[in-house]
Amino acid sequence: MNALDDTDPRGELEDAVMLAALAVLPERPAPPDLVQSFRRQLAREHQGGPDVRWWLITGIAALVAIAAGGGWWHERQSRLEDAQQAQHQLASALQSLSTGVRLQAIDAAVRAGRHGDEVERALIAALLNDPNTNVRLAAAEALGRIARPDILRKAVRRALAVENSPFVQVTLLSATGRLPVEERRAAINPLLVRGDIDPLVVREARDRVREPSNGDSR
Amino acid sequence: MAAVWRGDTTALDALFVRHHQRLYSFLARWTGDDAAAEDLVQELFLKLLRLPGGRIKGEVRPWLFLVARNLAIDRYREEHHDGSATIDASIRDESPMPLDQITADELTEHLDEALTALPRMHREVLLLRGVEGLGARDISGVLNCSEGAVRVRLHRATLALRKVWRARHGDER
Repeated sequence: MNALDDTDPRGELEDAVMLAALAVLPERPAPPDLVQSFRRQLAREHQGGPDVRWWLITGIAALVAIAAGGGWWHERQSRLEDAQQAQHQLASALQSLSTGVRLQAIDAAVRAGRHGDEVERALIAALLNDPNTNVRLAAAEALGRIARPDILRKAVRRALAVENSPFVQVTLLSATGRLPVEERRAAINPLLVRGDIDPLVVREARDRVREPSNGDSR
Repeated sequence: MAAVWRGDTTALDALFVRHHQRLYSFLARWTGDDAAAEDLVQELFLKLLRLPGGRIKGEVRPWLFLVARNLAIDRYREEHHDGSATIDASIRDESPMPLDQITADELTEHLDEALTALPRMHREVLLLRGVEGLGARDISGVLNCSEGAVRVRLHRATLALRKVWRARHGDER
């Protein structure tokens, strides 16, 4: 890295002085209005939350009732229609202009623990196209938890070919844990052939292709 | 943290009040950009409400630095910052300031400048170890590397800091 002689006694003394000084280095003071600014942002993020949660919870309740064979929907046909409606509501929420609503929809999809085609498609669209890194991250995590293995493999493969956030990349790599090794390799390979990836992410990817599967395929 | 992950914004507010100053200071030094640090520290805490719960193993503080660093990396990767630093030749005309002749205030001021001149990979390990006082194990979690790698990086960073210091304030060997 450099030609400094690291056995230099004078240098060692200098290092000790500088490291001791680092320990008492004053903080860079945060702007005095930072807390208020954060509180305003927090309030904006949670505007309309309860209303959104109400109908999302309604959708979740429908999916859960169907999973449990809940009798209070009475007719099988009625239950299927309500399940479709709940899926549609979740998928619609994933296209909301509000980042907070999109994130809540992803959270609701995970909590429902069910995957319908429409919800999976909406999550994949969020993963590939959402401009917000947090939404793409949440979509990656959600797909890792609820998507069918073949859907997960295709989604990860497509996303790793284009995703630039190391945070999302690492989450996608983690999501492949429940895939069989060969499918995992196929999903991760598009990232390994890119030349613009953080070395730590590359190392993580190489470790992942060597790991045994840690989950059952659904 | 459990309350935060249940969506308790009061708990999140308390967490922000408690930790924002240290995280802001770290991010301001890591990025070299006070405005970016201000945005990132807020984004970090807003992000906590959206993460599925139960993601922390161990203490909260190292994990917060991990999230902070990752957010900063994302931001600066998008803006194509390469994190490299050069020693600014235009400030070499400062009078020599060997460490045995410097006051504590002068040391603090110039040490901050020297940190800023380092590449981020050196700067961040010195910030985490020297300034924030995290141990090698916690730093390995933040930087996603082994404890051995942390020690190597710290050694290299110290040498680099020494080089920057000498280039600015004393003879460079």
